[in-house]
Amino acid sequence: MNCEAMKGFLTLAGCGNPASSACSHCGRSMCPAHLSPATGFSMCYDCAATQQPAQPAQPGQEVDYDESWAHGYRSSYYSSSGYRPSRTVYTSDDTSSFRDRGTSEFDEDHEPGGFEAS
Amino acid sequence: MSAWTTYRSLSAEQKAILKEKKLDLKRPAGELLALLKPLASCDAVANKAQRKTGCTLALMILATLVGMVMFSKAGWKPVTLVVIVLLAVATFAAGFFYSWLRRIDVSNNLRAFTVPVLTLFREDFDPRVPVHLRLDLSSPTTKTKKTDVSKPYQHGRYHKVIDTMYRDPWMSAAAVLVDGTKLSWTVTDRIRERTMTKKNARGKYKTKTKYKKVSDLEVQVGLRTKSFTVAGAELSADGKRSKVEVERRVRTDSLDPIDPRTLIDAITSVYRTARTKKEATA
Repeated sequence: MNCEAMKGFLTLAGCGNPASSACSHCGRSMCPAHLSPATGFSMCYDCAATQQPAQPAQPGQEVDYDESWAHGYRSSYYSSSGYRPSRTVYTSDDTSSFRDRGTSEFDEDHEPGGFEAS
Repeated sequence: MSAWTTYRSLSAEQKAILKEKKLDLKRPAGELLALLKPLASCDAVANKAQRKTGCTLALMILATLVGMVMFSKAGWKPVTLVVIVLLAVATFAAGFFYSWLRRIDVSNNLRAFTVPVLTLFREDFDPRVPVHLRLDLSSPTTKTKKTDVSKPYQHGRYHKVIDTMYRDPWMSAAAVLVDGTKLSWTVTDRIRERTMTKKNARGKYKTKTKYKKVSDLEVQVGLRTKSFTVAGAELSADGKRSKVEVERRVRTDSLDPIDPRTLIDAITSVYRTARTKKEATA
């Protein structure tokens, strides 16, 4: 069974790593990287964020911008802004048949856009 | 942890960034965060220490002056001389530490804007393509960023008002996202520093300084035409991407960093207008 956590913020993609245990709240299979240390690795970050939503930082308040904060912010941003990210990216399961054949022929140009120095 | 201990724990590259207050790097998002997060923590610790040291320094200068006046009236004795010398040495040490803290101070834009934005988008950036990040973390009101100074003029109770304008293009970034989108943005602050001087009823001159800041965010998003349909968007020269440009302007009455949400909203506004090919064909 693969990890069912969704990665990303603007668009969502499946994690696809092998799962080690299930979230005690939602029951989804999770890899160790997507289990929240704050809950003793029993809940996924998304459920942990629902239990304790991220609050906007007050002036002068120091925030630890870690994995828990990012998931909490994502969860509160989606609910407050109504943003629904598209799931345009394939999971590792979807692309597994391509892995052994190499992917270079599918690659496009990867230079960052914008302000490249001339 | 003390500011000195935190500073000692930084790598040579991180110390160089604190000294130069500028960086121009092309690295994967994870590496950028690993480089910048300790700097942000160090800046937070240094800011706290700077406030405390500033208060201590002021009190020590006052204590030294009061001590000198009192002892000069009571008569100098060897003990009083030792006390004054000790106070003066402690004041000098506090002054030196304070000036060092000021030297390693970087803009709060690092820890209140850059680090949160990179943390949120870390999984959106294509891990195979480095993120190009340029930061200017020096004070927005340094001489080099000054663009204009007004002639002194009168305004209400203030007999002398001087407006100094600054332009601070402190951030630009460019990256390729995992969905193939090319994303770049720039943040430029324009600051008006108004120094106002008035004479109060007792004949004393009082001066105060106020700031107004306008932050301009320019975002360019190039969505792959293979994956997204964007109505009315201009196509790139090779026809592979739909180019969308978004601008946001934030006005504030202080030099505090703007909320990263402004940038996030600008980028998500483009994704909201885009439809995936699946949606378009459904």
